[in-house]
Amino acid sequence: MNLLSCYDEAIGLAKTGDFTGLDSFFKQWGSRHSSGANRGEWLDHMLPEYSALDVSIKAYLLDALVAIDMEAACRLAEKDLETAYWDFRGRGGHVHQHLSIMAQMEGADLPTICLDYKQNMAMASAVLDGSSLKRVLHDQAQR
Amino acid sequence: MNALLRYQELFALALEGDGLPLSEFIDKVRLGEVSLSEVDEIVEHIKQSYDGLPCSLRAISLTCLFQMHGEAGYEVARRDLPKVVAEFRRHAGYLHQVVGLLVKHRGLRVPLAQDDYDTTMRVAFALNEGIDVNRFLKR
Repeated sequence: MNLLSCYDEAIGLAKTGDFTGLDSFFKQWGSRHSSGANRGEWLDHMLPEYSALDVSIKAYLLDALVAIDMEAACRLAEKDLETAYWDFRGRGGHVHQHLSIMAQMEGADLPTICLDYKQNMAMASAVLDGSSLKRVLHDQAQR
Repeated sequence: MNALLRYQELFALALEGDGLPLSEFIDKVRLGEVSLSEVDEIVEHIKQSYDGLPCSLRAISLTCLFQMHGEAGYEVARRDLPKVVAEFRRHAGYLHQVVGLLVKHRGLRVPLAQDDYDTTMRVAFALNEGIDVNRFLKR
């Protein structure tokens, strides 16, 4: 099978949560695919689809690309920075939204600023570990 | 028109960028202008469909649910919290990877701990806006 269809198959598998196809694709990279022409062909094929992939697959590919072509990896990181930034902000806002709903119903006083990601995650983790939000917020206010 | 269908129509409109009619509809529900049985139907619909929605739609959906029925929104928020926390970690890990690569590539001296989400975000913001990272961090 040629390079690009191997890659497509591995990506298809990764979309189901199985990264073994990508593992063997990149394991073979050094021995079979490492010529410059192959690399260029693969990059042209991979890059346009990249942005729409699930973030776990993007993380895997970016890591693999660092080992193959540092320059291309940096260009890709540059290109995807804005998406990564706004996706991060969205997911962070979502955590805050959940905490805020829980706080309102539990009669706790959650800070309204959702940009404090470290603090929000510390609170969310404590709640998931079984603490009540009221308790967590109370402890935080004491500090 | 049945209230559930109306809600679905207004939700679709909100996704296209016009959220006002949906807000007005939610206000009507809160004022008691929609019958309770119809509100229950919408609440059930949101509870059932919630898990299958993409992340961005889940946020709007949850807000609507919470505003119409506090207890139901609370229940979904509690149930969904482990998932949104895991989602955030995945995205934070990726942003950290992207930012770390760019910082290294540009030879910047910025300490970037994996779980220091706030610094990662600030560096990402500065890089994205094309402003001096170190000067921005000192602010």
